[in-house]
Amino acid sequence: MEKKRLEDMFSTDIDAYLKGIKRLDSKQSEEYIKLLELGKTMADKDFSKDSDKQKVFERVLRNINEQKGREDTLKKSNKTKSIVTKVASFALVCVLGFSLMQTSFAQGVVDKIVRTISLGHITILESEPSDIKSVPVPDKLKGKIFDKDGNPLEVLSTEHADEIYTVDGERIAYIDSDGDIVTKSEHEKARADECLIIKDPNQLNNYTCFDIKLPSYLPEGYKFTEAEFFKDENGVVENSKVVGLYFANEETGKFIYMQQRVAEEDAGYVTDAVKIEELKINGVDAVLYDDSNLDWEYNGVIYMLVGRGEIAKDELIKIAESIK
Amino acid sequence: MPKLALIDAQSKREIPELLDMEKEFTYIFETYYKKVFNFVYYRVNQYYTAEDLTSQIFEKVMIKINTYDETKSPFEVWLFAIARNTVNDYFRNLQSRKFLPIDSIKNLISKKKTPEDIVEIAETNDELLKALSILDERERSIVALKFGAGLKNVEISKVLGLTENNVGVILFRTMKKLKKELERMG
Repeated sequence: MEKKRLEDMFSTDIDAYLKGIKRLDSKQSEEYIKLLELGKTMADKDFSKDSDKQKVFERVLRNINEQKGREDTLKKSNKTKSIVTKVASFALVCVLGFSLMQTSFAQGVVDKIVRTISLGHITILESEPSDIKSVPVPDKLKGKIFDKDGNPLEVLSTEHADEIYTVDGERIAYIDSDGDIVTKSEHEKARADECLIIKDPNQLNNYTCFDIKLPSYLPEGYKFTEAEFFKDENGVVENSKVVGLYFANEETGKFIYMQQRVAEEDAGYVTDAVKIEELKINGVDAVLYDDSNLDWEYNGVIYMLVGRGEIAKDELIKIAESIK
Repeated sequence: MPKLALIDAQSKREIPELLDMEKEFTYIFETYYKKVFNFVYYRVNQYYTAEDLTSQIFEKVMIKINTYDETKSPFEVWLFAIARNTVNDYFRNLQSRKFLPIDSIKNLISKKKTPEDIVEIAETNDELLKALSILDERERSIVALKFGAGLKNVEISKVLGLTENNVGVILFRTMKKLKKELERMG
């Protein structure tokens, strides 16, 4: 009883505080008073003070006006509208984390768009190329990241973005959005926890609510190696809407990544690129961007082929065309 | 009461002139920006992401505003249900995409803020924010809805689909957990 009463009292006290009403904290335990103080501190935090409110306002205004225009056109042609979620743009470009990717969105995408191509749920923005090829290593990572010869990195550049190591010489898989280092082995472990890995290509369709289609053509030396499915809250994979596919060349260690996902509102994304090219894959509109990524949407599925700069453009197209 | 004003604004929207829409948006934005931003920030702890998600939330709110039914739920409940879904989608998307290997960093580079600036901002409020990371999604949502959005338990219960009583219990438990973690961190 007593416990329950405290919980109610806490909510009442906090609500009163939020409303600006001062209540006398009469003869409560020290623990309770401390909890209330913590609650008040949290209620007083105003992170929005340091945010760029004007920028957010303008961005929304621009987007809803655009959306309105698009909607009107769509209404005329009697189609349903699709709202694009922009979230995913972070992901494609991954991974130099918080120091870089947010700014890509904030600066790169919003400020200097050259043109936009939309394919159903996917939107690709062409932006002006950035002339900056390197950035100083953020404070948080100083002294923690090294090149392959063990020299501490002061600057991150496009050249060695792929190969950074910890002080112990362990390869870094990526830097997460908090700026924390995730090594290859940690990454593998996390992946094992969060993903179901299937290596038998014949079993892929047991886990998704759509048909996964593998390419019948792959560049020489490349083979399907595995598919990853993301586990739900209960740790199982059932009727999943997304799959990640890996095709690797065992000799060189290089690989191609592909994602297939159900095309629905949540799955849509916007991404940016310096160079975009429109083309057709088996008669369907597709976008090739930065010569290394090829996205298209077919029959309710979004296909995203990531050549990682290692696969020539015409090879990418051939792979894509072999997916039927 | 902001709620009344909004309904007022809505009933006048027989002919949705662009100007009206902008006015309405400005009103909603001014009224809720702080709450929405703080809610999002309590969930994601990053300024750029929080700004981006906040703008997405307002976008969705404005696009869906005609579907809002004041007889079904208070405006804030409706708005924060959208906010919560947007943040959850963000995490889900991030999860299903974060395994992409490093491609390149070209065009990821800020022209205005240096990475140091960003780190600096990101590290303010560090201790509390670190402590928050031990919470699960539900606990964190409650914290964000309570302290970021300033909602009452009854409103939180509607956004999250819990009972009001349950919200109070989880909130109190979460506060104890946070306090303990903060003490542990010293």
